[in-house]
Amino acid sequence: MEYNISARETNEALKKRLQEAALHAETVLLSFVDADRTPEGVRAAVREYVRIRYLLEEGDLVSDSLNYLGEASLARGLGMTIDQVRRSELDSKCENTSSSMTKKILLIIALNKVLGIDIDSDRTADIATLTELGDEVFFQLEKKNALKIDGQSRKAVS
Amino acid sequence: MNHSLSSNENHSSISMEDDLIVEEFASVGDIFSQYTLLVELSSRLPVLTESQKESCTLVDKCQSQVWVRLELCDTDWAEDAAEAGEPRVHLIAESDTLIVRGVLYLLARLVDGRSAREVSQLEATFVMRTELRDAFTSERLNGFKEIVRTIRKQASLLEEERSHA
Repeated sequence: MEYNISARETNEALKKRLQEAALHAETVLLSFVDADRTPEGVRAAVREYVRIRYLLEEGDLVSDSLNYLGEASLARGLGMTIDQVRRSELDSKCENTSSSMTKKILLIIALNKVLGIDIDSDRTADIATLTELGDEVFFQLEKKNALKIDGQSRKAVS
Repeated sequence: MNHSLSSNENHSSISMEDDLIVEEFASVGDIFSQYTLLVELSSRLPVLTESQKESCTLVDKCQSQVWVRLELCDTDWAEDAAEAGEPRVHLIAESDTLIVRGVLYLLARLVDGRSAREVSQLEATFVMRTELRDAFTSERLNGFKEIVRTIRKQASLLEEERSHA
């Protein structure tokens, strides 16, 4: 057995990749959403946000399923095949939540924060595809916008 | 067994190393990035065979299966330790859950290359001081504490054996 744990030297390349992905994904998401606030535009923005944060290539987006994309993301990160990830996940679901599902939950928390929206935990549990996530983000942005307009109107009246 | 650990050779304290881990995770960004980092670190923990697992302690009160064993190093990679007359330890650990493997990797980073005496006082707070705490349920956090307690206990036993030798 060979231990090659290099203390104080967590993979700098990995850290940089994660930092850059978060920044890039946020920039892309906000610019897409500003440029095209239609259901299709928001879906495209969310799709790109997920792809970048999951550290996936364009060619990896062969499924609409967030579970599949989570598995693909884990497979890339761990140097495994998707089948290997599935086998290990079957053995080791943590509190009955797989790592790919946890990634989905944390991704939606991150999206809420970036866009100032509130996809709650019940809705998060129901969202299974990129399309559903894009539609929910569109709905949330519309709701946020309506509240903003309503607040401005009330202010103008008073 | 070939130890190529470079950990803790310059004697930073466990709490300093714990602080460094917290800083590293904070620098990566939000909880999603921190979780991704933890999962990816899991792949750096050596995989144990079934017989190696049998030589370890199966940690109680963990939702996942977690095996740990602290052993004295039999190599000279920490020459300064020999000078101090205190052999160093390293952590052998395994789990069937990705995020727990990531945590074990970080615990090995805190522990490896230190004396049993130091490790018997182990305090590992990096999970609680990063956004990772929100990715763990309270049961999982209790499991983490139990892993730390088991490592401390094994370190105390090693230290006791050494002092009686």
